[in-house]
Amino acid sequence: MNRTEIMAQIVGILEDVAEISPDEVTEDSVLMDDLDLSSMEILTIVADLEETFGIRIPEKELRSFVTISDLIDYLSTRVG
Amino acid sequence: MTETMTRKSEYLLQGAMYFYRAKNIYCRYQYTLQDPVDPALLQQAVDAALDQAPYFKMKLVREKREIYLAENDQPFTICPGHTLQAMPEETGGYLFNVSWEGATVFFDWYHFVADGHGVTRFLTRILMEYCNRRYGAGFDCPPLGSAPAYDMEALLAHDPTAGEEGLPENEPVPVQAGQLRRSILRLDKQSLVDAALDCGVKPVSALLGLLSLALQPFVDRDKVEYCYSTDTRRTLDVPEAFYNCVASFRHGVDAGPGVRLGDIAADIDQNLRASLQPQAQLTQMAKMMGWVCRVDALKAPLRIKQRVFSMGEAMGNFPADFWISYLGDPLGPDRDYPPALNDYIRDFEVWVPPDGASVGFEVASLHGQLICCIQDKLGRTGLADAIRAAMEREGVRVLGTTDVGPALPYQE
Repeated sequence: MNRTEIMAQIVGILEDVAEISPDEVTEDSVLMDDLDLSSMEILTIVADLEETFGIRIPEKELRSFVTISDLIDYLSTRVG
Repeated sequence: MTETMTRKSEYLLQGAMYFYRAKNIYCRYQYTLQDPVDPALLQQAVDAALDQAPYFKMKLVREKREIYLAENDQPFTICPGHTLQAMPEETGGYLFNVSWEGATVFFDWYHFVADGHGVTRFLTRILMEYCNRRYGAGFDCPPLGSAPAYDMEALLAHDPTAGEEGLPENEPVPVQAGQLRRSILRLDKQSLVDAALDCGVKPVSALLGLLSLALQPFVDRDKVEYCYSTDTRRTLDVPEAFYNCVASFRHGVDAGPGVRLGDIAADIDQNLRASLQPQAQLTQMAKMMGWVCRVDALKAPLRIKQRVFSMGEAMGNFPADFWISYLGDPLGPDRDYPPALNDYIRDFEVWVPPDGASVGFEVASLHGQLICCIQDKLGRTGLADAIRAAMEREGVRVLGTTDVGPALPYQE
């Protein structure tokens, strides 16, 4: 799966979990600041991503997800 | 009366954390009596106790997006054998089960309905009712009420994380799991008390220190992290609560090579005593229940809620290298039962899966022994010997170790 496809999945989950319009999301978007996501929403998004991609993301990785790009980088290494 | 009319939400949130764990947590207390169990009398005893404790006459109803409690109008039937049953699927909707084999009575329950401290009053009552019928013991058996649910809003006002953003800064301890193995370690209680007195600490602090020293070679660092739970009934002013009333704490201790109990006992004891302070308990319990309520409020499928819940627990200072639950007296931690009941009880075991650690210790005190029931998710053969060595090095007498076998069903 390439970056564009992973991005599309993330955008869909953001829209579903936090009602964020796809137009608002770029790779540089900062999860908590730019997208105004709460920690609970981030965990929900991660849980959704795990289910979507059929993987388990270790808890120690969670704090490294600052931007959308961080998420894509991580997922690319696991499912790319 | 229709089912709708008997719907109850009271007591639901007190146990809701157990909906959000990946597996149902089933607990077992087993009491060995002086003589083979008479099943007809045991059934009568359970019926009598259940009549006096309507709290346990409930079932959990799960609908698409709703969970509630309702009165269970089906009779409860004890069953033969030692097999742990799935609750409520194999127990007629009841959230507990009673079975027997030989002289042993097995009490199992789904952690949603009660914690160990809470359920003990009910289980002890069953034993009293049984002894009245089997031996003419003459124990007084008045109704067993539960305290009303505590005020959740008032509790959550103590949650310091309520308005926080960002993920916790804790470094999660990875929980390793393989083939779970159960074993029992029996200690001479007086020798542990003496070791504790030598260090000027509580016996349970000495026990925590000794287990940390024993476990250290099995973790690849000097610092050993453990978790323990404290009962919060008095702090919440609900001494007669059956439901879960617990604040759990984590602490780390440097137990590397060359460290002796005297080097670490004071720090452990200071931390333990601090966690028993009412405000510390309120704050910690509010953090735990605050997280439960936030997960509960999520509009998401149960499986997503379960995963979010477990991530939050891992980030929020749990899990640890080992978990310990010190039950104390298995017939009643507050000793609010007739002392003569002890004469009818020969032995006790407790089996609760270690949900947030690689190894769990459940410790009870009976007839001058400390009975440590150990569940090791990694099935390490050298663990019992390491614990024995750590105990004996500090003068604590080990009365015996027993390899019990693999996990109970549903506790793997």
